[in-house]
Amino acid sequence: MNSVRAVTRKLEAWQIGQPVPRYDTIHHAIMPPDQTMIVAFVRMAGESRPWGIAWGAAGTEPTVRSVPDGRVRDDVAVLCAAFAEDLLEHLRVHNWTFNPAPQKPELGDLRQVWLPNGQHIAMLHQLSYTYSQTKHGGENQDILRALGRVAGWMFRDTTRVGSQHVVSASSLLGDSYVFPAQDVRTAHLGFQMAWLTTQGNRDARLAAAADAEGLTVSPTMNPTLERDRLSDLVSTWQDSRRDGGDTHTPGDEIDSILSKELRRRWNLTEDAYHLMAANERPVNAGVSELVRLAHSEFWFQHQRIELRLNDPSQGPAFVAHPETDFHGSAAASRYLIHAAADEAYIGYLIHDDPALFREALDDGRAFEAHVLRVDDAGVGRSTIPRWTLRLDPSLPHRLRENARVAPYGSRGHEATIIDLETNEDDLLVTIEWTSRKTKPLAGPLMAKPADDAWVGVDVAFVQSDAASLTQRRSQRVWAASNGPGAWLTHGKASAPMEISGDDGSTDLVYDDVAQIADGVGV
Amino acid sequence: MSLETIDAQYAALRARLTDYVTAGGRLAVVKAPPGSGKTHTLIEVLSVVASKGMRIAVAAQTNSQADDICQRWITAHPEVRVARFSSKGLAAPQGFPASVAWVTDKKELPTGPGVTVATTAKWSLTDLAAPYDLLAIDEAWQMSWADLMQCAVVSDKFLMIGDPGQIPPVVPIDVRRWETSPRAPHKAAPEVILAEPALEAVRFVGSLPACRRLPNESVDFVRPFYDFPFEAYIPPGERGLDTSTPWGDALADGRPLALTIPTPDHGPPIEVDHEIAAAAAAVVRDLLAGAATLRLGTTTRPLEPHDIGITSSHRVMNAALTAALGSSAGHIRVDTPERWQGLERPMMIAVHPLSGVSDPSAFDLETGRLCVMASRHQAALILLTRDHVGDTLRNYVPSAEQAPGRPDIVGRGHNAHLKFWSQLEDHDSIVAFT
Repeated sequence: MNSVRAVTRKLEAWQIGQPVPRYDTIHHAIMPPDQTMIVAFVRMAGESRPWGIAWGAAGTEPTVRSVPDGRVRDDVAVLCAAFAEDLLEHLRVHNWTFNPAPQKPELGDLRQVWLPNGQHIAMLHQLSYTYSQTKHGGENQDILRALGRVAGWMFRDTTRVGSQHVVSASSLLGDSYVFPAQDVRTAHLGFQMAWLTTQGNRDARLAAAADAEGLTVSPTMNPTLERDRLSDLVSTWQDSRRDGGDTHTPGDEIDSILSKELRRRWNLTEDAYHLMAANERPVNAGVSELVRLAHSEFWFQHQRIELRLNDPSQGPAFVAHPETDFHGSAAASRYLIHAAADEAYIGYLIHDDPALFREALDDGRAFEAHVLRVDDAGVGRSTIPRWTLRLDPSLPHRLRENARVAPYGSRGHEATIIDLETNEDDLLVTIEWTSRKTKPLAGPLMAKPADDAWVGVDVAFVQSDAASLTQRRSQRVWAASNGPGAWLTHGKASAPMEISGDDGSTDLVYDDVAQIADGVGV
Repeated sequence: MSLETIDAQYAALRARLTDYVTAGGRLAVVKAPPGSGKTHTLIEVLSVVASKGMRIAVAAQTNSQADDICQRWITAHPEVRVARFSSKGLAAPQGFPASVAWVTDKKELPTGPGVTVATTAKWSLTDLAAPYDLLAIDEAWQMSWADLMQCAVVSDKFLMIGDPGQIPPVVPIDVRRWETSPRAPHKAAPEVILAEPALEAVRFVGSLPACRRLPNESVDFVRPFYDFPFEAYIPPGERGLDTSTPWGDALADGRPLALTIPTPDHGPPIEVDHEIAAAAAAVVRDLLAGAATLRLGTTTRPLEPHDIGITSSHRVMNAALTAALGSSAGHIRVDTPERWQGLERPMMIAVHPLSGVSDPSAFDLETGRLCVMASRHQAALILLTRDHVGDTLRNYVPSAEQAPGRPDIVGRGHNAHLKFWSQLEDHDSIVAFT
């Protein structure tokens, strides 16, 4: 949402005293409760490993588990292994379920994981760092590595525009509503939910939101709680463990405090889920395309690689490095895939969301035009419909020759701008229909583009994307590795990276170059 | 530095580059300041290289750039066999020279010595029957590393020329995943190459010695945007705009002039500033009505509407500017700095990229936009802005947002912005617009 429109909507929200819908539709799939796992973490201040995890399907009692001291690697590994078992089963990861996700599942088969906010999503990154190539864990090593790999994929996929498997509740609420508050405050899930669910006028909602804001939602707990209530208990537990004393009492007390903290975060997220699932606005029709892409990404970026890891006859596999893609082709290919997803995103949604269309009009990514003339530039029996359009030149636009546009509401049709002519009062644009040019448009008239009936009609257009081309280029990156110039573009020596644990242990983490180019197993 | 010395430096660079390429050099990178003759240098060097029997692919970043290169090439060197390789749906523009072969089928690409020009996108999606002897890339700083990787199929030798001060490749997505990648796919291709120590032994690095577009007095203002030295080719006092407006004296000497309007107490309007748009229209009206005279070397002539270009960062602001211009709008190009790259006008009016920003972000401090805005004019540049910019820059404390080991883009951007503004202050070139 551009900044002027965002400020205007904020003021409207303030005026009526409650959050207002950002768009006319919901831009994200909301799956049934049994396909929705809600996860929340807590961790010790300054530590990366979880101290406790709450997980479970929406509408059920969650599993809430913690360890007495988040710094004890082996205890945390047992906690994470228990979590991994359910997470891998939920996501239908190959080798960890009797019902693995196939290459092309039904749209309704999507499994989602909801987390409170971006800081909890960052915990997935920590799990990836800790476990994707771990040499520890004993009998749990395999499942911990599987957890590290799937957490790494989940974390990476959240940066792909339009991803559907992992949901940040706070981000989804922020994308769906405009709150009458500063942006920085609306990243707090409790603050958002209080604004949305408190009954009463603006003052009542504002007061509830301010109260909710005082309770942390992040995995790191309130420092006062940790210092005043937990710190001594952890020391007592450590002393008892060293001295062979009673560890149960302090351990239970720690668990009781952490469980309460975890449960509050989990409940807030579940409330957000129910609020979105019962939303009066419909889910945008274009979301089905986003889900199809999400299934494809899960298959090609995780499930297929898991298959290969367990069965080398399926082809080469590698474990993505938690930090970055060191392998040039892997980096460029993923970058282009993410760029293609970004290009396609608005194109999927805009045809089913008038508010999104109005926003595009405001910043020039869409335009309204009057059809002046319809011609046929085809030769012989071929038909190449051309329209001459008149636009208001004072409105913002991003028109340029050779740009592709699609008629609003008629996704799949496409035209190319072949000429632009400006005079003092008019902007004349000539377009040539290139895609579905013999099919009727789903616009104000149900007529083919070549039909003269379009003369005199007002038609709106949106920018068309080149996502399919960008996606093709992502494959060309790999193909070019055999080209004569690959000595420059694709050559790069690898180097294993040493990662030190909090307890002084170290792991050598091999990057993807070592695995793809040098065949190093991890 | 004398013009003879600069000309000699140009000739020496062309000779060294020609020798390097013809001797089988595999990787050349040439940095160019704005308006320094990049494409001219490319054409001159590659014409010699082609005459020695090499088959050269040239990659441009847009179709219009590719068409322009072909037209210039055939005019300057009709003896070189030039082909334009385009997609099937694209027709040759009006007036395109018939002596340049327009090829849409890869099977019909010329096989002998000569030059074939296409866009980077076209090269990257074409399976060639045989590689070229050299891939030369114009405007190379607009090409991302991911784009270059796809061009590995074209040739085993690379020549890149471009302006490192311009706007980097557009990055529309979250790229934190690749910020620490050894070869980040979203970075400009020459930037990746120049940062790679392993390539030091094989690469040729040079720079064009002078800016030929800007008035001598404007060149100091754009130097902070570059990490290599260059001279002004235009002698002092040769270019400017003579006008009787109250702020006319400042424009006569060719230096940029900032015209400010007060910043409201609640901060500047964001994105669309109608007062700035009205001020731009008033400046145009005053200049055209006041018999302003362009001085371009020995040529002097009245300023015409088509001599003027206007730029601002936001499209909605450009629409407001176009609307404010009224009947002049049809003759004056108004566009974003991204679209102004590669273009020039005798007189430019730019809305300062920080005019509507009281708390600059990394996007706002990216120097490419200001650099492009400040380097399109041949005689005069007026920056229109709210008057808070100096204070905003001085009060701003940049925080490092980059990944470990990566350049401090925000800090450098802030520094370059501050230097630009300080130079305006030092020359008393900031005047309240009335």
